[in-house]
Amino acid sequence: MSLLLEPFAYAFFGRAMLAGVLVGALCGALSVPVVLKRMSYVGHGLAHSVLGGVAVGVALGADLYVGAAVATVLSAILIDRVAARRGLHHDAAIGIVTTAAFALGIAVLAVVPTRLNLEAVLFGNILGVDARDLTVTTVVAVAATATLFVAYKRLVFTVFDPEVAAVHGVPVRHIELGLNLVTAAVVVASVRVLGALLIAAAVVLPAAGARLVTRSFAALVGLAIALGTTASVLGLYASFHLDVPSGPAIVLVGTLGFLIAYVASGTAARRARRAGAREREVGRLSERGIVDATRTQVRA
Amino acid sequence: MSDLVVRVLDVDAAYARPTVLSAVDVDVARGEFVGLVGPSGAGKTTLLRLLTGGVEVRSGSVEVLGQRVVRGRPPRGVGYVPQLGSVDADFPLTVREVVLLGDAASSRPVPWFTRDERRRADALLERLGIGELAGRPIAELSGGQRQRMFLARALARRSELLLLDEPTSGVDLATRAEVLRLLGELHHDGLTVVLTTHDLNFVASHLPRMVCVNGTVIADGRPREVMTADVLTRTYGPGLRVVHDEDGHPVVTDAAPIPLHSGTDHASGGMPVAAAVVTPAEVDA
Repeated sequence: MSLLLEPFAYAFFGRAMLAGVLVGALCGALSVPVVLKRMSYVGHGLAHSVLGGVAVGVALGADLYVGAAVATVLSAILIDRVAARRGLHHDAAIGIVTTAAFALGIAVLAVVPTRLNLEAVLFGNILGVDARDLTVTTVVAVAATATLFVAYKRLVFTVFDPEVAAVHGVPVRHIELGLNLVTAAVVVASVRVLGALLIAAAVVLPAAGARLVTRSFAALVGLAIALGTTASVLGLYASFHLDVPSGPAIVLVGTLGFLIAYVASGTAARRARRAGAREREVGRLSERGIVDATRTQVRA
Repeated sequence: MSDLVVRVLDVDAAYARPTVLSAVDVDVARGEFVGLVGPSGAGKTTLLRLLTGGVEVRSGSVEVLGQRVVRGRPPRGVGYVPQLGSVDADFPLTVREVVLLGDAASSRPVPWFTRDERRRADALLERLGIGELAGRPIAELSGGQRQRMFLARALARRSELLLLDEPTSGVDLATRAEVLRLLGELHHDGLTVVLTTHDLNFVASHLPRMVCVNGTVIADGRPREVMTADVLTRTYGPGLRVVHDEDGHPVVTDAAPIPLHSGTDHASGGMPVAAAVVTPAEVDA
């Protein structure tokens, strides 16, 4: 019990846990459209562009969040514009825009001396979560939740079948741009807890794992939020007790969750196949009059 | 209001620089059933997208159900059925949810649908003969059931005009017949239907009107009048001929036998060792 309660003796852990729960739930919800729309690389790219924004912002004497927000929002809009050009797809647009931002960040840090803790920006640091970080995370969580709530049906239609959604009056381009902007906001809010390099995993793992064990959209959303939140909570405890950066700890717990779902779905599929094979065999034997199918129980 | 559902007047259309369609004139009256035919890349799907605001109109004008259509502004009252393979067949949605999405644009901005909306979706599924599948994941549907589901989604928007992109491609003969029978019923109920297809003989036998497209409209009218060797050559190039069945319907076949190589003898240096010749009569059979 003390393992669970002891960390809360430190004020920073309470703040980190609150921020972690919000970030975990947000990343979990966002992972559903990201995985289904096959845009995992967007999270990866936007997270990389954070470094560019933070470096340029800090070098110019601006706030960390201002730099990160400007870089990710600008990247999200540029990705959208470049991908809209015929002959280019999202993967190419992301590869161009966000790696350029990352490269810019590294170049600026090499040239301009700053007091930026690069390791904390890249891998997350729960010691650094202060009241302002918590406010930023809460504002983003409320705004992103409200946006996803209002746009839910149109977003699902856009992710499932964008061509028909557009014909049926859904503003597909605005929905896609909105999704990119929400992703950008979540990435910015997650930097302190998860770190720029590991956010990408947090917006993929929850839905990727949940997708393996459910075929219902509502269950997928619920399970992804639960997995994201659980990974954050357990990861933060692991970070505290094992003295590892919070980002890697959360991502490793999330990966463990995915592996459990992977093994469980494989086992379930094998059982279903075996049950199907037994049923077919009983059917064949029954046709030949060897067994009575009505009295034969097929166990999975 | 005019009885014309579609009015395309001298239109040039393009996605980017090269013009895909030029000088296109097509009118479709309320209650018509029209088949658009032409080779791959001829602009059939583009012509459908022209009617849904999915392509840039360079010149001329497009009106659908009395609304002027420009890129990015789809007209109301149009249902669209895409090609079967265009969506993720394993997407985690139920049949009912897919149908409900058809009217998502005018539904309240909350994540759930009202009881009335769900009831209406179920009624559409019943009408299309797959009511019992409403709660099933779409991954469990056959090709024909999936087409019925997409038809229900297209109708969920209270559509007056139904546009279908190759509704019978990639399905077996029984499913094809099932889908076409269903379209016939919907047309009989008063819906205007425009579809694209590669199945010339289906158009000739069953549809009252066909439009041959290849960069522009080559011919437009009743299949018996339109389906001539000259029109087919101008639409598809040489290599096809038209014969007539006992009911007088035109039937398109290959103009010459197609040599089919059945195998290669690797031991003899890769030379073909057997060949079959298929005659038009055999293809027909």
